[in-house]
Amino acid sequence: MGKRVLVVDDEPNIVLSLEFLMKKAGFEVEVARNGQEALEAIARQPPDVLLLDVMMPEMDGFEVCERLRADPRGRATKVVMLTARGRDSERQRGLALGADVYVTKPFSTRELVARVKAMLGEG
Amino acid sequence: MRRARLLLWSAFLGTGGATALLAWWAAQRLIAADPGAARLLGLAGLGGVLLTAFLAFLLDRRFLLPPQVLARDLELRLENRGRGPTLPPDSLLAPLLPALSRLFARLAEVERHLEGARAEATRALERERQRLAAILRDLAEGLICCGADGRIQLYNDAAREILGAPPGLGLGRPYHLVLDRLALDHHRRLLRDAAREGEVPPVSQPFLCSTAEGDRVLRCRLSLLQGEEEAGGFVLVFEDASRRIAGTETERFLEEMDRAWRGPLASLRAASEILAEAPREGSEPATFLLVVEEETERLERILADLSERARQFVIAQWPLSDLALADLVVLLRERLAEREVPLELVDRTGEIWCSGDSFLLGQCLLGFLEALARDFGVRRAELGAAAAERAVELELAFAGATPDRDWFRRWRDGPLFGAPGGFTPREILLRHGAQPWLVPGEGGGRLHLDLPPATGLHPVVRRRALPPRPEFYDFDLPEVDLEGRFDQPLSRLVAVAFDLETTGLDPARDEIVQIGAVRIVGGRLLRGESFEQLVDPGRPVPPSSTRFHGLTDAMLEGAPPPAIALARFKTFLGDAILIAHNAAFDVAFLRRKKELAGVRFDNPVLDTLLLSALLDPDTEDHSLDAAAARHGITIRARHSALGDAMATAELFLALVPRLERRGIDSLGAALAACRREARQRQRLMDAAGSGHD
Repeated sequence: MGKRVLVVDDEPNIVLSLEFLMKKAGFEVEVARNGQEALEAIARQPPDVLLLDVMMPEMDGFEVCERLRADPRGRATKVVMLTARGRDSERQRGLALGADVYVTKPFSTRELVARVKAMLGEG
Repeated sequence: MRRARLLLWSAFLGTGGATALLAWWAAQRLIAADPGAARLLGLAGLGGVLLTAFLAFLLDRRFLLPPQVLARDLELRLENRGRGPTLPPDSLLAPLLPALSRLFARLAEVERHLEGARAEATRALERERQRLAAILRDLAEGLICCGADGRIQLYNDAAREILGAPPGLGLGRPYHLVLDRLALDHHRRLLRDAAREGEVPPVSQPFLCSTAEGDRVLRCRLSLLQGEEEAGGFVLVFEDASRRIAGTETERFLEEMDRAWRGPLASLRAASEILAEAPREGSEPATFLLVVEEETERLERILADLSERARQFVIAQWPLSDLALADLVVLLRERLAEREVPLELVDRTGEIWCSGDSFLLGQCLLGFLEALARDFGVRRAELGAAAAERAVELELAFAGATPDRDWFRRWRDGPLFGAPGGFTPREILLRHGAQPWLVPGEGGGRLHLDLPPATGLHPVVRRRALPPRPEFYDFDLPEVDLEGRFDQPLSRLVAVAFDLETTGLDPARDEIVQIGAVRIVGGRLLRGESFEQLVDPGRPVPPSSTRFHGLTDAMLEGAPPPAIALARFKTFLGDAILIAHNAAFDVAFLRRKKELAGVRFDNPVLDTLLLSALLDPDTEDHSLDAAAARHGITIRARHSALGDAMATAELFLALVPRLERRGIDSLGAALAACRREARQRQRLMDAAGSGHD
């Protein structure tokens, strides 16, 4: 069975692109539109990779990440945080809260795919 | 004298009485035998008594009474009554009368003069007071001056207005009735510490402070008063910052704008990259795809630039100054101890500096630590720091508690003790461009802050060393009188003492490398009005001369050429008198350059070497060092042009009173004396020269 990727973002256009890219790279893709949906998807089965937008209404990406890490089953999931904030401190914060990779929007899709593959040992 | 007169009249009464008695007794005995003789004797006795009385009267009037009258007159004069000596013209002291009258007249004159001078001084003081008052009134900034006891000694209208006319504002009332004591005392202490380390009177970088009632936020600058009488006092200059600081709309807008761009841009880029990878037909779609890609990239660059500028803008709204994090720890420890919080703070900040408002940052962290200690009994925390590219990462680590998000939010968005304008830690940190976040860990946690890095500006502005009395403040400058300049008293001259450093000793071949000069106005050395200029000589500086002035080719790189430097010096000089030590040497350099610089140095020149030689003819050594040492002058930077110019100026001022005692009290006399002395020394040198030959 292929590796599973969960894409979480409240902006449909970027979700569309990410879904396309990840499928093209050979992953199984699931999509969530907000933090709550993401947590539900994780509760069903933690993905191998979580592409997580930080700025979402109600529950932000930091909180999703924290809850994922609080769940023992979620420890193995690789987390890629996507943020619309260009600040260095955000990166620090994301990494401190358990993200593996922190990516500032806009980003290079080729690079993102390469990093996800590398994390899963498929680089 | 009164006793002497008493004695005299007693003696007269005794002698007269005795004579009369004796005559009466003798007459009684004789009256039967020879009535004629008795009558004669009686007459003789009466005559004797009368004679004695006359003598006593004469003695009294001519010898004893005048001193008493004089004493009374003098007493009356001292009490400012009576007009002069009232001695009778036939008294024995009469010869004193003319001298006494003159003395009395002179005294009256001196008194009138003194009265006039006092009235003039009072008027001058009143004029200065009014000018000062006018300046203070026109100042847009508020100004409050306090004594060491913290009582207000002076404030202006703007201060009253900016503070909102608080009821506590008044002369002789403590400043903490109108200004927030916590913030102000914090900055006072920083300044005092700085003043203790350096010698110069420091002035603070701008900082925020609120009014005592907390309803207004002020942007302040503080300077400490120096000098024996004022030590401990301070001057606070401030403006209202409430409007500028209060709204967070601008910050929110800038952050929103930054964030709003990124989402669409990310989608655009991802989509264009996917399209670029996709198989396509024809070249046109490829061309336009390229356009999309390029423009996306351009937008990204614009965004990155705007984003950084927005951050800088937000930071610039608040007055921040450089601060050593180690100092922040010291400060926090003291505040914790003051507030009896049993928490040990460990310093792991190393040598890192950041930019911030030390008081407000301190209050934020203090509030956090206090809450930790109060709510969780935390007893120990560590403050660490790391310098990142565009920020200083501050980390406050603690064990023994795992605060949750709600607790953190309560601190972040709650009121903060001592913060101006009722700011929350979040708002204060936002103005520092910082966002706090909490990372829970195993049995503890870490508070993260990213502060702006130090700017290299010191928290305390070290002004150039100026004397404690401001010399640039003088409402009573002597008027420049070009016509009668040669009659000008030496003590009222407008002069410039200067010195040159050169590549060598030959004015014909060598070049100036440095000019230093300082103004003297009306007998006062104006250290603040100095001129210091490096000059690019346009040729290598020989090591032999570097040994003297310490200036190398590298140090002179970028300095203006002689023509420009001399023109600038001429502007500084104006038509002031030139003063130099061994002036012939320096003036030769100046004058040789006149055609080059297009400026003429035809100002009158006084030479302190010649004046010193004139006053101390028996001394051999008239070098600047020796002459300065003889007059108790310390040269602070020998062989720097400005250091030597300062010493020359001080030497000149020390020579002036000595010259005046010799009758050389005007510019003309001093110039003539210099010329005479120069000729005499030339003759001596010629003689010595021929002697050697």
